[in-house]
Amino acid sequence: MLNTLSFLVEWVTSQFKDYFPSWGEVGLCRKGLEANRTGNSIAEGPFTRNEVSRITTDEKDRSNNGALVVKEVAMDIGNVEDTLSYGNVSYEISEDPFCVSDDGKCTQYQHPSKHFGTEAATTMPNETISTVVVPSGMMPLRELDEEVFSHIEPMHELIKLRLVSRTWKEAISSRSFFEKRLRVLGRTTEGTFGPSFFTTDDSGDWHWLGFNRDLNKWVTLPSLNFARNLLPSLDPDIFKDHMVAAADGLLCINVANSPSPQKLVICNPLTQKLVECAGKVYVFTEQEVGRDVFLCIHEFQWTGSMALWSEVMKRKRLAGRGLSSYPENTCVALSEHELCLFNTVEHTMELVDVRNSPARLLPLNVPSPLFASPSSSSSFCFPTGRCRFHTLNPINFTFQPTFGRHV
Amino acid sequence: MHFQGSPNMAEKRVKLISSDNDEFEVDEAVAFESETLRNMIQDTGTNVPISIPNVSSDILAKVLEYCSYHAETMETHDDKPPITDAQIREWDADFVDVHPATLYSLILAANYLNIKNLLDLICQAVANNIRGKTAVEIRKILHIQDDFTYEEEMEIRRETKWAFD
Repeated sequence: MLNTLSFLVEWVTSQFKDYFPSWGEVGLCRKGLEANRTGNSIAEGPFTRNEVSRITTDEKDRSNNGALVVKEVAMDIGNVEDTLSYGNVSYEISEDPFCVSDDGKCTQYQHPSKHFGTEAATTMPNETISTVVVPSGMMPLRELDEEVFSHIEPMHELIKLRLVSRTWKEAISSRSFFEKRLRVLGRTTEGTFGPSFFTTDDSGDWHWLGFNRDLNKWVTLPSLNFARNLLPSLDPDIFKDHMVAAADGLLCINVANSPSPQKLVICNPLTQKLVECAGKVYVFTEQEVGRDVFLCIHEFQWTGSMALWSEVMKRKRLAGRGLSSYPENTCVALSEHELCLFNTVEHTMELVDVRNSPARLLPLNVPSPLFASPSSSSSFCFPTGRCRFHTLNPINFTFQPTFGRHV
Repeated sequence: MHFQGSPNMAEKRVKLISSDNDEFEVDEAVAFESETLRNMIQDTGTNVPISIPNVSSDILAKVLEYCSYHAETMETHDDKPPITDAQIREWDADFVDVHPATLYSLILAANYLNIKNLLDLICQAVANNIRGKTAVEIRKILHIQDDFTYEEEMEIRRETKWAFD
């Protein structure tokens, strides 16, 4: 294989010398190294993809006079050997692609800005058009790997492939890949893993298990040990206090032990990262301190290195039972700055505007589209006071982690 | 080398030239399975031979076998019952039952010629091929160099341990 490659370098060099004088200085180099000015091939096999990354002409680069830089020689699927075994190589050159055929004859030389058509292509000097050459493929070759990965199911099998190489690991950790994969699979999530629970072992490591309904079995979910410095050492007796919510592959865990200040972790277990929050995240909690119950809203901000959060509202609940029976209130977002707070026992609702401090508490019958009378055609029952809330009762809240577009 | 697509004299024939300079002649309908070739033929007509310098003869023959069969499935014959989806699936399954190296050449060719269904078929086949195999086995099959340091590999093993449970 090395022989073939060396031959190729020599051949390319000699072939184009007349057209591009500086091709005499072409060298094949490993990624990260500058092109060898003397033109000696410093290529040594075996090559894997990405290793042979470019052929560059030194002088043209410097003069910036139509730099000819081969950006990718290696194909992304398979290695160079696979590529060369074609007997042909197509060099993508930043300005013009060359198609190089086996017999050492350059069949075609074409400017990419021209599409095939009547003005098909510019020929090499002294060559006549005898054939038309197929242009490059429909997608960059590096995306072919992702195309293959998109067909690997279930998710567990895919994650194992991170061990193959750096390139694979990068691909299988990227958000854009997982988004593409779900498009290929025609789904919105990698599956639903509920019911789900956490355990810890003697060493304090966290484990997470969930029931995969597609496979109909319990599976191990991504470990949370990457967030160990943020997670508390768990006391089995108070673990029930660690509220968890999940959506689109993100996991939000309240890891504080009451009555200490709240501590929130939002992470992406699949990419093993704490998640950067693009917008603001508000967390509603009911907290019991002694015999008193407090309604709290906190704002969560992720600065890139640490989680910050500040209290937006803390209000003592006036009457009712302790949290040990069950939480009374639940909260959903209405807009970017408005939260609806539902009392599922009293069947009342309040609107909290988080822009104001202290939060503005609005009565139920505030004029707003949300509270407009339901149209006669709608069967949906709006919370106008005549309806009773049932589905919002936290008791009905099910925690079913999924891995979707945010992974 | 001469490749016979479904012979139909009424149809236009297209000449394709592989990297090894072998000439293939197929019906226009067969070449039209490739989006790339379709665009080119529509632009330049069928008179000019089309050079496919990135695809060798054996791989091009295989690609054209696929295109030929799938072009045929689109045709309706009065004397023959239409080809069922199950039959097509079976044919496709046989088609991809080849050496992994050939599959990889086919991926590149299918991408190059822009044959979406073939690309999907082969990607699925390659996925089936590597699914459940260890990293070491996959590296061997696909000639991928292990470029992790020992420490990095241990770190990834730790991170991904859950997937192996």
